[in-house]
Amino acid sequence: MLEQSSDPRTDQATAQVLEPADEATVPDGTGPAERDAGYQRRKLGVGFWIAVGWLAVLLAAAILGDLILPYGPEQTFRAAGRLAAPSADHWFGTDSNSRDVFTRCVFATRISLLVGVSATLVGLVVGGALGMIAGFYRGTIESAVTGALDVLLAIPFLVLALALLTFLTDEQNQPRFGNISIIVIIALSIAVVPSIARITRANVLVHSQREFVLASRTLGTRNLRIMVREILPNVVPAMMSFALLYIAILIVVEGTLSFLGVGELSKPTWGNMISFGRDKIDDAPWNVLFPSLFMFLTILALNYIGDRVRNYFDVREAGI
Amino acid sequence: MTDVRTRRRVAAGIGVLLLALTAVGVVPLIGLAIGGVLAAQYATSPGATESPGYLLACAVAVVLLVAWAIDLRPGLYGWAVVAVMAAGLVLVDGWRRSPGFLALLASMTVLMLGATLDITPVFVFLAVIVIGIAATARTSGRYVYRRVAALVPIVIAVSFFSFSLLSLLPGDLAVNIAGPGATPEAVAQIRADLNLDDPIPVRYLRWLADAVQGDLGVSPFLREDIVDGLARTLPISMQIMLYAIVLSLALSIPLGVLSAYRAGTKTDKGITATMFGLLALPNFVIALVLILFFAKGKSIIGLDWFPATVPTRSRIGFGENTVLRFKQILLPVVALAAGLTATYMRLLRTDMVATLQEDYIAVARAKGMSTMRILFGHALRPSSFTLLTVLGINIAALISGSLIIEVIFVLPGVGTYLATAIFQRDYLVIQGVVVVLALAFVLTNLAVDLLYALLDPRIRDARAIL
Amino acid sequence: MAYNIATCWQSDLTRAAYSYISGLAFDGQTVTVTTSIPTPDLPFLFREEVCGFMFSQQWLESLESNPLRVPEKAAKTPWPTPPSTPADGNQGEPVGSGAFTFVSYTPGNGNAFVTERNDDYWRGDGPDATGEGLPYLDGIEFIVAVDGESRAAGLESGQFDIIHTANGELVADFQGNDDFVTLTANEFGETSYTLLNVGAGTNAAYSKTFGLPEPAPMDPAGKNAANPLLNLNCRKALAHAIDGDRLADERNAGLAQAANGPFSPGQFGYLEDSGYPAFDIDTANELMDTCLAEIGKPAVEFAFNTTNDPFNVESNQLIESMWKEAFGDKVKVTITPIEQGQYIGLALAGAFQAQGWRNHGGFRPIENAYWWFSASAAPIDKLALNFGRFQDPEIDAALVDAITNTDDAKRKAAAETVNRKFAENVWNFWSWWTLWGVIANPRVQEITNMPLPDGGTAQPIIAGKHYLAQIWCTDGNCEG
Repeated sequence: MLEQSSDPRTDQATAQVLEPADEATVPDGTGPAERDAGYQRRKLGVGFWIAVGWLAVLLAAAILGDLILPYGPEQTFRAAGRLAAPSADHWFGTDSNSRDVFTRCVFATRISLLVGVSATLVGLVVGGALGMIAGFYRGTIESAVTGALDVLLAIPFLVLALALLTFLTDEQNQPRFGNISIIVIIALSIAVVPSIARITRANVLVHSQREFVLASRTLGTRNLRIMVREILPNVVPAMMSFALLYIAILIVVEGTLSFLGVGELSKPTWGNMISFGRDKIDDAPWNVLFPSLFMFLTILALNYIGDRVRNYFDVREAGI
Repeated sequence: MTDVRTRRRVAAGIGVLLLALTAVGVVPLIGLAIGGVLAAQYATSPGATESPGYLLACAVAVVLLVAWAIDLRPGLYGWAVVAVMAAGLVLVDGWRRSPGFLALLASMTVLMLGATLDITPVFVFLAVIVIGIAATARTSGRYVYRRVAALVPIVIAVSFFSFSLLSLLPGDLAVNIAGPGATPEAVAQIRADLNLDDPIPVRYLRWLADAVQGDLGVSPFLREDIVDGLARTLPISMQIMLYAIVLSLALSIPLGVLSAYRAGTKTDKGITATMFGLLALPNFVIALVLILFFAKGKSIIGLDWFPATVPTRSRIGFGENTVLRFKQILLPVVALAAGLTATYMRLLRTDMVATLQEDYIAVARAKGMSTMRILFGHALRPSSFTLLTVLGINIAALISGSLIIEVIFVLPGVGTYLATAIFQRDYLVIQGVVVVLALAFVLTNLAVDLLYALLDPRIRDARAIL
Repeated sequence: MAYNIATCWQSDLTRAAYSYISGLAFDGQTVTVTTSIPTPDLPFLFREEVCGFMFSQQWLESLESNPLRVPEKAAKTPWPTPPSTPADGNQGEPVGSGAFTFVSYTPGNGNAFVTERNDDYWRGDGPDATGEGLPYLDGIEFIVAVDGESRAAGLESGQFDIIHTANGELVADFQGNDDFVTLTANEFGETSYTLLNVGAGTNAAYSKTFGLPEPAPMDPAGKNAANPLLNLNCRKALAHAIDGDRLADERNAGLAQAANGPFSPGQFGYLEDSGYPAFDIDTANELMDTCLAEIGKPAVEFAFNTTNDPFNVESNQLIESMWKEAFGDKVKVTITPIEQGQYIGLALAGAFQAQGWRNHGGFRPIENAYWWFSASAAPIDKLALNFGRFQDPEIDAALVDAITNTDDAKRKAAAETVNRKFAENVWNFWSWWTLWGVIANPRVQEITNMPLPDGGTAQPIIAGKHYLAQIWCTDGNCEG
């Protein structure tokens, strides 16, 4: 429990932590929570589907953006004017360059989600493998890997990400390769590895002491086989729910980087939209409000789905 | 003498009261003394570990002490406090059986000595932590020694890692320092001055040798000793972070307990949902909203109570004008604390719900114990392990959070210092700050671990075997 | 002062521009500057601290590792050594000899450059002073607040008494706010523009100034070779596609006007119509086709830098969107935000393709000429004040005329020629006359008042700079 719940690398808004099943406590409740109500645990709930729905709509809009939206993210609307209030033509109003805030919010999803998802995936593969090794083997390997992780974990996440980002660009601040979004993804992927590895390790530790694993070991099954066949399937559900949380975390980090004036600024992201809208917050609050809302809802949805998925799988696991 | 239990309660009561006063800066010196008594008391009372709230108060006391000392540099004045404290402690417990007391006394001595001799607070701070750990080691045995011994390689590894990384990264340090377009002679001169042509391990050892003597080098961009830079920026960030931690605990513990106790009810759902929402709000958005609603001259709802920025010039030191000082740091602290509160509350609630299902709680209820007593006296301690752990780990996360808060509120803290260094590729500053942060992180987590072991002897024993 | 002029003259960076200074003598409080050619506007050059009058000689000399300030580098002509008057205190610190003197400086956001009243100010009450009692304030703290919006919030919230900003939107916001006094000026002010790096080929003028046998290659490492902005037609096409009025208007909430050259209204050389490419999509497209044919690429691609301030990023974005509207995919720019300190370094070294810029406030061409001489265009990777590294013999000649001609009208005409040549060759994309706002809480008085000894008044605000000596606060209390 101790190790599992430690998500060490997050900034405060994102220190999501494992929350075991407890949503489904008995609703009569005047006294302390009681056990059971297992039937509820098996359901994902309406909220889950609403959250999934939001993400699906968002994703579809981001992918199909050019096809279904009448406007482009960089298109300027002189007729509507600068900082125009929300209207039928411009649902979320316009920004200081007379661009459509709604369109930009939707297109911002691309970068924000792309960064969150890809960095998490890379982090999962690399960090997952490391965590698996550290959790499964004892002795030197474990010490070496956990030692290395401890070293990286001691450097604040945002600092590590910022430093990597700076060093992946040349002295003219141009990306050394690819484009700036790719650089951001790489920096965040590396920065997120140690914490994912640590969580994986904690999960693996739990399972590697379980009877079926010990039994396999006694039977002389190869280590790799045990890892892949016995432990991985048990760890995957938990890791998937963490992946969702990490996507949320990284969306916030991307926003923070944009807000600090590094990272992607040529294309809209929620973070840079908020940053740009900040000095017009008095006259045109929609410039800050709507990207914040998109960000909020998306993180909320990801967190919620992560929560529900974990509950769902915890129950099944308990049922074994 | 009275029994341990009563003595502890009295000490805790007075301690908490005075701590509160210290926290708001009314009576720094008395708070300092009492905070010391509290901590010593804790370390010496055999049954002290029963009360997590009390433990927490002690931890907060020690942290506040350090913050205060860094902020004010008490100087000779403080020596008197050490003396008074020593006398008081000897009277209460007798000094022989009190390792905690010795540690505290040693820490205070170092603090005062550091302040008097004007040694950089950062190093004084680190020295205090080391002494604390060493002292705790006496009570916790072999396990602690192992942990402390394991720290040294980690810190060396962190510093070597960042040193090599910074040295290996693209870009010539000398060219970088000399500035664009510098003559080859000037670059060569800088290379020679900084021994940049030596192999990395040699340069690292040289850096390390200087670093352990408290010399982290000079920033070529700021023309300032990095140690001075840290001394200038760390206290500002630490103050904000400390209050953020204190505020988030003050909110999350009662809310978490209430929510767990009323699990499943509307109250619980309301609190949980609010916290869940809070968790999805990035801190820079919270900061913007706070400024928009509550900043002087900016508030759109007429509640213009707090200044929107806190530059050095306007900063009020500890103990100078309590009300104003709190007004000043409240917005950044709240912006930083919001997410923490949500995290901690959820953690505590989860563990608490599980604890409340334990048989011994049912037994306690059957015995007719009052609800408050059950919740805070019996259920809170076993439910607070996860919270404690995350508290320690969050130190690194807090630095990240503080970075953006500092930019928004014009606070010249360590986050800004580091971010500027990164933008300017000021390698020596990055190296110095990262190492000090890493050191603080590792030490804090060790401290949390030790506290944790003290909370639950089973862990201590189990770990000692591993 | 003599020492500072000497430093300017001896520095590799500025020496090309001060070649007309041939000698320097001093006697008590009098400094005599001798020039090899007539320079009627020379006094304008000493209007402000061109080479840092605030620093003590000892400090300048202490910067041995700084290649720009080493006195020995100097001079083939021997210079008189100015009298060295050892200052009190730390020799490494700046002194300040005006109304306020240096107290301390701590770098970093939120920290301050602290000054205090100079009791020996020549217009004060000291023994040799005029007895005017200046300055009125006990001291001024210059606080670093990098984030523009936080700066404004700090003013509104009472931590700052005066803020400076070139963010037109903020200025407009404050103009509508009766709680604060907003002073703006763009007369004699700066021009906001896009600085283009056209460093290529060889530079004979540079070699001549620095005594090199061969014309120096401008881009020995080929770093700027792929820059499409080297091509005149590309530059013209891009310039024609920018709607200057709209750009000026939208970025400054209607308060600023489109710029057409380096000389803002009021300056020698200002023209109603400089011939700078007007907004014209059709011409732009024709030229773009020529441009693409000439550079042999399907699109014009370059990095369009800006500081990491949201206002500047959005300005670049607006220009980018105009290019997109005119050319579609034929223009691909990458907007790269760069930290301010690094930004200027990149310009000095020529390590950029295009970047947002503002400069050239003043009265006479002599104040700005050093940015434009071909001889100031050092090769890429060496420091140059001619950041864009353009070489324009006609501008060189006109500048010399604009500095040396003893006839006011002819100097003015020469300056106008400079302006026209800039437009013709599109060395930069001019955006708008920079709108500097000095915004203060209403207790702060006489920010702009600076009576001159002859009874006249000094120009109140030039490029965001204003005088400090006369400032006072209501009831002696600036905080209210």
